[in-house]
Amino acid sequence: MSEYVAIAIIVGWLALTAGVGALMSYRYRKAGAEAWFVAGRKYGILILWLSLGANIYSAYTFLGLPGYTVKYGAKVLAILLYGQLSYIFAFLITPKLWEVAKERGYVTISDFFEDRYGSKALGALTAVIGAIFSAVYIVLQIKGIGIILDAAAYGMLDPLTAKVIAFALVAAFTVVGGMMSVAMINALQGAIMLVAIWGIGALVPIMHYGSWGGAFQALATARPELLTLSEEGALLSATILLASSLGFWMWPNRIHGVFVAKDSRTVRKNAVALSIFQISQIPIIMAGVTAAAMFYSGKLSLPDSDYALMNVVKATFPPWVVGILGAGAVAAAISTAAALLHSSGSLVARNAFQRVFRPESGEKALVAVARAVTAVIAVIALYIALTSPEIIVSLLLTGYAGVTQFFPGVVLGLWWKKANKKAVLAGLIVGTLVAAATRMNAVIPNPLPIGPSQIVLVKDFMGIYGGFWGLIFNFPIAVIGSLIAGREKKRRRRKR
Amino acid sequence: MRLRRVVLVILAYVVVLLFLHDAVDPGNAFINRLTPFVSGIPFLWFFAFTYTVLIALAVAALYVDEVRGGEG
Repeated sequence: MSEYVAIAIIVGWLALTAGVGALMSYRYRKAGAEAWFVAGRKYGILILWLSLGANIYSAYTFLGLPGYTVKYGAKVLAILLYGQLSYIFAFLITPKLWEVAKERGYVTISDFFEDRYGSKALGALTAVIGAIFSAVYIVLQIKGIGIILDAAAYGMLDPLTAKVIAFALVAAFTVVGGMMSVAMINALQGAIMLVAIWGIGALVPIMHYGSWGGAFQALATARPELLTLSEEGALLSATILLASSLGFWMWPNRIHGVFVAKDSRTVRKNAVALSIFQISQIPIIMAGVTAAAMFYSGKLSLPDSDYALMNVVKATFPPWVVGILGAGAVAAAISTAAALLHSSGSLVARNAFQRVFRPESGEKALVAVARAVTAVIAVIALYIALTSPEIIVSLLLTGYAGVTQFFPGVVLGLWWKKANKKAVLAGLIVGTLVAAATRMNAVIPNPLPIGPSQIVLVKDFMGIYGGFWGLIFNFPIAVIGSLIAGREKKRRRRKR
Repeated sequence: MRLRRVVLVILAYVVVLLFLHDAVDPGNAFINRLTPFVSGIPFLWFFAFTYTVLIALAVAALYVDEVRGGEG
């Protein structure tokens, strides 16, 4: 009977979220472009912090991190550290980007590429790359909602129906209310996520082993090799740290989330405040260490490593606590899905559709197209999530390596006048292809008429992260290409 | 101000160099080791947790510095 309490809390939380989403959607049903895309650029630090925190920290934080800890042990520390290193770049890059965006009226990261480099092609390409990888990320969130509801509802809620309803609601509010709905829903979600993480995650090891140290001692007895890195693990971790901390703020939904701030000082404050969210990954990782210690000593059963957090909490606390954690975890998945849906719809509508096909279309038409595109992406993501979610994980890893390739174009564009559009475009294309080729572990047919019939793509070639390989090619091409283009330009000017 | 920013970036990336050092010379690893345990936490994990908090403090210090209009 007490199991119903967990479901009641989760359903109650979803209803509250739905209420706020519906209210914001009603208020902003006739929103103009500035309101739909960037919520009128008016939010202060509290809403910005909570909404961006909820946007960044997704189902991956609640399910992926503890699961990764159970599977790979100390490798999880690279994820903790690259996220925190990225806030240095958030502090240095995002205020400048916000200022340029405000001055020039940007609402997406692709607006920056298009305007700074005077290239519709670069804007459209970054929009399409960003939208594809964002859609992949949405699918993961839907999958996460299913796992959370399956574990937290003690089998009394059909996870398939529940995740379809939950996602349909998110999609509806995002389509109608745009960024106003997304930011307000996410602020609520961010608050419950913090409560769930600190109130529950940090206590799990103490409840089972008396202290955080006790959980480590138990794991050191059961599987000591999980507590340190292999030789290859250290090299991989170093290159993940370097590349992913640069790529962290290149996700279109994160940059988009920054644009809702009211001024650049709020953006700076936010970089400081968000690092608290990152510290919040520590208690979640500790819950993962506890789950690993219990799992490898036969005290916990896991159908899949993604169930680590939910199952260890079920083995520790009464159902009402599981309900709060479930609400926090569903909140994490929903808030990220909403932000991703919104940013991918914005990218395709504005930078691919309007700029390339209908440059003369007005504000109303643009918002209508953005709403339609968002709805279409939501349907496609839901379809993939229900039919073949297993291909998504490898695509997402490639996605992270892929969006990292925006970094040279953004940094050079902001601080180096000589950065040239053709060089940046070439660097982006080569970097993305190299990153994809070194992320996937697969044998594919050779598309070229020469050479062997099959090509082997090696995951983390030479133990180095794919995103890092991409940057090794991308940065020099962008820099050297820009220098050559600059010299050519000078020479032509002299000739005249 | 600019100098302080550069120092912060360099300090932050010390962790990358340490990981690389450990990969090149695993027998003489600096951070990638189980012992000494600090309050029961393995050294590698303690290092990562502490570094995460330190970077947050460093970014906060940079903000405070900027608000006060410090020049570097």
